[in-house]
Amino acid sequence: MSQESIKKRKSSILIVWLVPLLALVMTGWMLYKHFDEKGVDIIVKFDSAKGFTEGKTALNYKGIKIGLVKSIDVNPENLDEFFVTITIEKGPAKLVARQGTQFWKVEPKVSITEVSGLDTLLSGSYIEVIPIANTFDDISKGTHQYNFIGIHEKPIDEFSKGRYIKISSQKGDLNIGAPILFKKFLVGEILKKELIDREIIYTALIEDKYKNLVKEDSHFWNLSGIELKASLSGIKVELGNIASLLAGGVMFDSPESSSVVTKNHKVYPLYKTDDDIGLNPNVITLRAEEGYSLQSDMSAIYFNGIHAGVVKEVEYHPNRDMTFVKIQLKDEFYALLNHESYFKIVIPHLSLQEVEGLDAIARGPYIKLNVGERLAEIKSEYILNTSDKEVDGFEIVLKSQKAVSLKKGVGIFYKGFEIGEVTSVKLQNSTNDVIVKASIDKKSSHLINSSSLFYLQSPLEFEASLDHMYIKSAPISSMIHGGISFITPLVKANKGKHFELFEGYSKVMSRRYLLSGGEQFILLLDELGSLSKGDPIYYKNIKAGEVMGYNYDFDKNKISVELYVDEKFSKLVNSSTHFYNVSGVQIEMNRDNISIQTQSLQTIVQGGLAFITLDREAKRVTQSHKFKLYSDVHAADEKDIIFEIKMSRGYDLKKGSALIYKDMKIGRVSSLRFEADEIVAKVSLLRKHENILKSDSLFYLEKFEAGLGGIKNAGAAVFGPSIHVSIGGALDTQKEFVLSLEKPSPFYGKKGLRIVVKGDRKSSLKQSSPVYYRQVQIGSIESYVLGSNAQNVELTLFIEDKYRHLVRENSIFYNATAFGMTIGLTGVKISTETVATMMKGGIGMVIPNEPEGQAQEGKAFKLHLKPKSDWFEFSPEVTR
Amino acid sequence: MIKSDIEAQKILCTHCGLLFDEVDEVCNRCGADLHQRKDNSLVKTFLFAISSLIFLIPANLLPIMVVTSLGNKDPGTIMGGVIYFFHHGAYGIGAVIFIASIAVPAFKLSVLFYLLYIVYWNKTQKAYGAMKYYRIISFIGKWSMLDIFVVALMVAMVQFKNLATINTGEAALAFALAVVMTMIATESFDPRLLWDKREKK
Repeated sequence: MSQESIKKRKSSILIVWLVPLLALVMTGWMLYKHFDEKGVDIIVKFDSAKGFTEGKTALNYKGIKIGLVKSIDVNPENLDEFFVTITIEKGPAKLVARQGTQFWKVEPKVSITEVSGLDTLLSGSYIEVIPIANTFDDISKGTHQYNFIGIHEKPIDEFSKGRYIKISSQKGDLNIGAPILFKKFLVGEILKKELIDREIIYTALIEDKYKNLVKEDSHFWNLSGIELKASLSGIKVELGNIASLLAGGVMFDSPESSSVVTKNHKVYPLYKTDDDIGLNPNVITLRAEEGYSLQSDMSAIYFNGIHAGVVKEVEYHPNRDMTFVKIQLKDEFYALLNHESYFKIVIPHLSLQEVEGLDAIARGPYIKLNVGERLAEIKSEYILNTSDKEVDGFEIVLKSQKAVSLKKGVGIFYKGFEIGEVTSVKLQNSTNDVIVKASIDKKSSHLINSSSLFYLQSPLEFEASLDHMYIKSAPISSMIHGGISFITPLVKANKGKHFELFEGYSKVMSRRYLLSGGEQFILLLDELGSLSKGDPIYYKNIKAGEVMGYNYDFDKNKISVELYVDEKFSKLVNSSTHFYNVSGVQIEMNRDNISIQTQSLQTIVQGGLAFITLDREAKRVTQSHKFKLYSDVHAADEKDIIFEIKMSRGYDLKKGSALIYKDMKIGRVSSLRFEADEIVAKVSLLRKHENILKSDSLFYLEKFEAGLGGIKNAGAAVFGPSIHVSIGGALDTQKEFVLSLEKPSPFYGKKGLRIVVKGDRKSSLKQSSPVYYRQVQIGSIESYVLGSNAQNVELTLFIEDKYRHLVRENSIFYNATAFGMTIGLTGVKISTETVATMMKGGIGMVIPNEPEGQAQEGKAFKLHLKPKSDWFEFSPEVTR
Repeated sequence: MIKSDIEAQKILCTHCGLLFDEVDEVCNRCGADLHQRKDNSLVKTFLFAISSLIFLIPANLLPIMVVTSLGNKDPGTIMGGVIYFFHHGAYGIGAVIFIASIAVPAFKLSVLFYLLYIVYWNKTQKAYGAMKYYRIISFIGKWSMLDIFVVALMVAMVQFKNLATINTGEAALAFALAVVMTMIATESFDPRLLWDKREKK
């Protein structure tokens, strides 16, 4: 063996010696590392070890396993407690094994609001740990601790970002996990719920991104799942989200102006509903006779109909036999509260007297608050009254003739606003008047002065005209038991206290006219016609007044209409004033024209009256003066003369039928009436035609006639029958006529000579047949009658005045119609006066050569049938 | 009387099996170093056996395999595994693991120390029995990595992400080293030493 190899072997054996050394080092390092990593044992005391398994159950920190339950031992001193030894990995152990670290058990939990710990279904329950702080440095400051007591439920993860707030409540109906909503948007949840000093304190976390929504003055209120609000105004059902439906929830709202909360754990009160927000925390105590079935948190306080607060508590004190109602008012209303504040209970009473409690049927009883004058002093205790506060106002006395169905408490209304109420109703024995005393709110006292007119409010007033139309219904209460309204026409008038109570609005309106300086007039009518209350009265087409009412006058069998004429027009009314009807449209149609006459559009529909004053200087009238109503303006303005024509029948005559003279309209029928089996037509005649009213003037009717003889008076077919007149020649006048059945001759009343010729037969002579002298017409046949003994025909000839001298005592008349027609061998010889006489017939006249004196009126002549040929040779000189 | 190689002044190349009639240092056929007996066989064997023994401590104390199922780490020691299988009635597997991972290494080390004891304290009368044991441990030496194979296989196969994964524990390394150490120790032991003293006697 060489030295070298021995050396080599020696060195190799040295290396081999290192192997176990190396092994020791390695093993030592491995074991050290292992056990070093294995961590620290801590002992946590739990009330229950359910679900824990030694060597299995993990200790987790936010989902990371940092340790393992090593053993579970029962506390020998208290068998209800278990010591769970947990081995925590080395690294986390440094942070976990410090004072203040919290341990709790995580189990699978399935509830409505929360499904948590589902992972534990597979992995089994585990223990969760949370250290005291969230920075390494902060934790390191804490002292080491190896024995802990486990907590029951998950603590708040203080290190989650967001805003922690505390909500204090009287009730613990919110569950952990209940949502915190802002405008129904989920922004956070309730993490913890604890009972501290009889108060439930919820800790809630608002998510980081929404934390600015939480402000100093934020209001939190309980959001019950279903909100049902029912009142007379309607029903409102509001459903929260499903989670809040089941677990409740908290809603909050923040005023814009409020500053954002910067610190955690600010405590907010939890309002029961959003109605409670703004309730002043000061509780007001009301002393009451009984509870009035007021319900806490439900019954409301109303101030002027505004929800002002809520009843918080109703207590009964047996010692004092008193009920105390504790209420809370909203801040703004609390500020209004003062020494004089008046609380009144409103209970639904279905008696006629208490209709105002009607709303309380739906709302339930509520408390009405009235605030008095502002005296900033709050009473410690108020009385809950059952009746309204005595109105602090001034008293007025209303006197009424009629028994009024008024009762105490009935309202006094001004333009629909109640400003007072009746305090007493008494019958005054001495005067038999009903005395109504009322109290008017001082604030409204300026509305009443001596010009005020009070009237009983009818439940429903309907008034329609072209000007306005309104249906006025009084408040419900007054519908049932009346009310008193008033108007004050004059703003400036003396104060007054005693008033008359009128029955209705119309009475008041008439008073108003008088008050405003107008005057009342009375019109007597035979019949009312189309007149009605409220119809306008016009003067020169300007509205000057109004028809206020009408009464039937038994004594006179007439209707007296009350008119009110405005101040400025009332001066125009005097004894010469004529009122006339302008009702409707007057359409006059005659052969000349069609005239449509209306006053105003309103009168077309409504009718109305107008007046004219003929003489402004005429005597003024007294109140009792009774005016006549003229049918129309023509009648009223006295330009027309009215006369009467009696007739046995109406002949289709109408008001407006024309009176015609020589085809010219000179008047019209203004009215027709019956009188003793006759019809009397009043005809108004234009004054300038006055001369027709001669005592022998003849009025006759022209009607449309169609027959074999021809068509007569075609115009009457369109315009209706008309009265025609033939003016007589008499000198005296008269105003009453009888309608002549016959149409008088065209010469009726004409100046001329009337003579009679007597012939054997009428032959073809007719009325108007001409009378010729030397083939010149000098007159006509006016009429013909059978002779008195029927031996002949007497024809009355009318000889025009200018020819009257031609008729002499010895004039000879012959029938010119009977023309000679001789048929001979030489031909037919026709001899006649004129061709016209051939057609119409006529009478010829000759005068012998020695004419005698002029014939007298009514002289009778013989009518020769044929003229003698020598008659035509007469050529006397006839002079006047 | 049998003459040993030392007594006969001969040397055998243990690599190519050539027998030299005189003691030489290098085999002139295969070039391997020639030794009549393995150098420092006893010391080496002892040291490697000791190392193996040392390694066996963490190998059994520390987890050989870490099963992570659903995020839950479950480290398992060898014995833990055996107990686990026995608990669950898998006696066969339990037995195999027990034999391969605990019984065999323990047996090998025991045999090695027994051999050293016999050689060192010349308990030549027991050499014959010891030789039998030596043959056994030489034979099973090649199977002693079974446990590591199992672990390696499991690690390779069970990689189901979050559901379940298996990783090797520190013990695996220690165990592998321990096995290696026993193998080297077995290799280092020259069974001829058993007979040298006996021949002298």
